[in-house]
Amino acid sequence: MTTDTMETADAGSTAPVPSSTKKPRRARAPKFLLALPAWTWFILFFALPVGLVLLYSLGEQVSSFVQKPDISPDVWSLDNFPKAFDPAFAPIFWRTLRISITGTFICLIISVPFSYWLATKVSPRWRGVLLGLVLVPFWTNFLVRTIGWQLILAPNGFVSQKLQDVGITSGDLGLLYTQAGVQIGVVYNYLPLMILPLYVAFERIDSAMTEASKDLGANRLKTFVQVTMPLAMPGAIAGMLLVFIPLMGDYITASLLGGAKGTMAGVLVADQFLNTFNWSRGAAMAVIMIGFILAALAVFAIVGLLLRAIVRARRRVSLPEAAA
Amino acid sequence: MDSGNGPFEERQRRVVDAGSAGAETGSVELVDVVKMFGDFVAVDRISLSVQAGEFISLLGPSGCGKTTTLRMLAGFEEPTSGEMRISGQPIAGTPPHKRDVNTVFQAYALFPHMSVAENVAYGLRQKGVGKADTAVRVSEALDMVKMRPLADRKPRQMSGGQQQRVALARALVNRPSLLLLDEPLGALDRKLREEMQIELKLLQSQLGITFIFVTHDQEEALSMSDRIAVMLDGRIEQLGDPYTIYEHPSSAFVAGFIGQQNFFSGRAVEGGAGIETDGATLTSSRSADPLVVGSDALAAVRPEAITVSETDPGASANVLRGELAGISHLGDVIQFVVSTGGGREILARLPRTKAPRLSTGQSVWCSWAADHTYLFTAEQADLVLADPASDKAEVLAGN
Repeated sequence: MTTDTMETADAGSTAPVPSSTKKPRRARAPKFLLALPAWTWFILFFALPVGLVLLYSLGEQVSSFVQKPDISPDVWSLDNFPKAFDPAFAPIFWRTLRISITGTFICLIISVPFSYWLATKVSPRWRGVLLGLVLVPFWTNFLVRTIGWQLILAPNGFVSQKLQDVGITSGDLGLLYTQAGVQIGVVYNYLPLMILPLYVAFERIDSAMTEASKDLGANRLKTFVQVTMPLAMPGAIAGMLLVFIPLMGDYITASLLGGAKGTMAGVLVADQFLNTFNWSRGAAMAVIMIGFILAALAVFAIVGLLLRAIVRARRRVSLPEAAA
Repeated sequence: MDSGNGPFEERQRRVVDAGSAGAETGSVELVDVVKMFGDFVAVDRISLSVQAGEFISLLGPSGCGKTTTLRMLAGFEEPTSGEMRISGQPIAGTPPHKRDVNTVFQAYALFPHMSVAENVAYGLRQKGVGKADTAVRVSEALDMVKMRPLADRKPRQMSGGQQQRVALARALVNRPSLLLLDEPLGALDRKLREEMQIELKLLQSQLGITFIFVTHDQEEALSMSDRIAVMLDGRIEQLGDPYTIYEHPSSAFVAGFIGQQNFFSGRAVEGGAGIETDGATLTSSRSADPLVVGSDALAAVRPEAITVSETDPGASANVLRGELAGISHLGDVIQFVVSTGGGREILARLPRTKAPRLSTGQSVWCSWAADHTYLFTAEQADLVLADPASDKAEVLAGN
């Protein structure tokens, strides 16, 4: 109630204010407060660091003995960006993109049948157990798991030995410190992030949908392509984003399993910060990576929308004009 | 829904030849069909023969096996044993997508990512029907259910009744020889349900397609069906046309499930043509197998058969005295609840013009003619001896 109305009431106005208009309102916190913890967290630990990286990328590295670059506004320049595009680094960017796209698709190809099977064919009692098994790798530290793969992929390691024992290869299998090694490692590390959203998506589809499809004459494959997969699309997209984005910036897998031949952009950025002590160039590389990821996602989104438009156009039924 | 001359109406009965004994397209034959889920017997040796073009209802409370029977016909479940034939052809092992059968699902099961027209076109697309032909057939089917103006909507943008019509069009556009309907009206409100009952029946008689309709609503079954199969515990209790089912129920369960009944338990007397209950004698003049004298038995009388009067009608049997406990006005009929003591209540329904003016608390006599008394053995007493004043159909259906 404003002071204005208070005064009117005090002035002894004869007409009493209808009770309905001055119903006491329960004090209500503004609704955005619900999102406040998330906002605080994002601003402190996401927006600020990214802003700092942006700032560093504009700064100037005074000397390699002083780690922190000069970021006073009068030295701001874009000079670091062309240097970050050094011809030596370009192939590594492309390789990172290739490994990430390939890794995302391998994860998708492995996860779709598995998640579908888990969500529709396995009894609910066993589903929990199997989902738990999918998450087992997360119980161990990421680093330790990846070091474990070093042992497996080593020339005299488990895979190599077994393949030689059964006579598939004659010499040592050189998977460690290659792109193939990194590829295997990232698929292993990111697979659960694809399986979980896909499983949820498949699990939520009403079995009446697939029954209706079969009832209308579609066999199992057609039903999967035309009904099940389109309905599970949100899960597939979530899974692809969850795998692709962290994979682009992965540093541990590539540095442990990639060596010189399998190095990725994340390793390169870390190298600028930790070994070369050129924070400005490292920051510029990081900014380029962010732009790269966003551009890649934009391209995927366009391709996805195009594919969807094609599918919809093929499905469209244009009815003849109604006879009035 | 005018009587047009579209291809649906012109649909001709093809006769399946050679080896199928001239069975007409759309006929259904179930012989000793059993379906077990583990140890649970869902369907217990059902035999049923449905003629081409017939509208048959499977009616029963939940868990009676009616939906399982439907799912076996659609191909979603395989019978444990027994034989099933559609149009004279055995269907064992034929997957659902190869059966000349379509289903209208309980919750409609429309594809949410497709428009109404695309949903209806789905079946034709699977068969490889050309674009132009598809468009014509889809628009005919949508016209048939008056959904043409909403052809471009998505299912979530429509009401339950509209989705229901689209589901119907999606099934019928394929011109199946058999249409299965799994409680398709269950989710609609009463008024819409009654409208759809009339439309469904009209459609069915125009198209000449065999309809197998699953429901737990006895009114629905009575109003639409050529024949009704009343089911209980995986078996068919009684199979007959609505009149027979209503007038000549073969068991206490059927009597109680179809319409309403006042049940009385007692001991068989009068050479097995009556029972004695609470000092009163209830006799029946209906021709039925006489009861074993002295055995536990049930008598049933429909509320509309009972007359309520202020004076003693002076008959020796089928008269019960009680106190008027309640009067409800149901439009053209008036319903009386008469308490006969010992917690027993009798429900009587009289047309407004024939109902006496009474007030609650008054002492009244309930009486009826002997041909309105049904007698049964006490076998199904547990099923039917709920509170006689409550709606048994609903109690039994688990609502």
